Amino acid sequence: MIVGENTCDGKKKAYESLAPLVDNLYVMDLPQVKSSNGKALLKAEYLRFKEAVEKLTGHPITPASMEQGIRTVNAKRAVIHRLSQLRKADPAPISGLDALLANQVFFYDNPARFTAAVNTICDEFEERIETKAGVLPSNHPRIIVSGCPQAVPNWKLPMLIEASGAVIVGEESCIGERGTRNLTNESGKTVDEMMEAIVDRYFQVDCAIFSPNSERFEHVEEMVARYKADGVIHDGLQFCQPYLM
Amino acid sequence: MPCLGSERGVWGNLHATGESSGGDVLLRLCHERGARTPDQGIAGRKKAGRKIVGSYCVFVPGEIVLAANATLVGPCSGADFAMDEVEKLLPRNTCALIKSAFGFNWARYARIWRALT
Repeated sequence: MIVGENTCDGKKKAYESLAPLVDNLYVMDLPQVKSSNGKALLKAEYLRFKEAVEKLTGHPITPASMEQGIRTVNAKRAVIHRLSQLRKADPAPISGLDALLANQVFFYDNPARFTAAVNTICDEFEERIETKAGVLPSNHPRIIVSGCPQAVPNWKLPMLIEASGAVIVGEESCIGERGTRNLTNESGKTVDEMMEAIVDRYFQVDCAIFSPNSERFEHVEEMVARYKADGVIHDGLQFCQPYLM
Repeated sequence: MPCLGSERGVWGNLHATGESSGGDVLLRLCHERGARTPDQGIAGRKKAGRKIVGSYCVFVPGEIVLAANATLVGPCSGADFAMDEVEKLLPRNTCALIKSAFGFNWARYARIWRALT
């Protein structure tokens, strides 16, 4: 199953042309406004998606399987949070290019293997921070990259930035904090409660398809302060209206 | 240029080789990592009968996919691929992410088509 989602107009209309190229395209509708109606739409779509995935696998979701699913995805997010925390250090213990790769691998690696691997590199970065062994000395500019996602294998922008003598300390992007920054509440006991927690978590995503989307600007400012950044580079893909306007 | 990150970390040597602009490095990395633990890789999981769900967006909840005993992956869409073919299907002034996703799917479709004919 390939899941398309109605975010920007480009993707929404492109799925009509993609359908004949893939075996099983499932299109998920998404809200465009952070309102109670918007949240109700997200919840209805997640319930419809849950039924579609259950039908695909033949495995009905149980409270135990849902709890395990939430814990597994949260663990993946938590280890990225650990990595992000370490990038606050000056000098930065990891290049933006390598950190971007970790954020990219987040999307396709086995969750348990990913969590263990990132913990391994984080242990090393803690040692590096203690000895002040940064990727570049402290006097190099610290940059936040914000905007469109850089999917595998797109490493052009960080390569240019870091080859120019700056170090990227955070990504305000879907492949970065927009995708990983909030955890799903783990206290639900029933599938309904846990679905509610999932809706709450994903409704906080500050994607540019929302209008207005002031949370995103607040997040950029908060990241600049948190990582002691000297500048923000906005990455707006050509023809991507949501991130260009 | 100095090593841009971990020297003995999991992905540490990738960018230090200076090869970080192409898909070849990624494919090699996936192959090497997959070969180390094939049962955990996507191909291994699919072979074991597990359903794979691909998604292009952070709004698709991994929690639900895992709870239904499937695996969620984000397909590659960060490189220009088969752009001549993609631009027969989409306007040229479509964003690079969408065109890339189509390029990789076109390649897969073309492989299946060749096998059938």
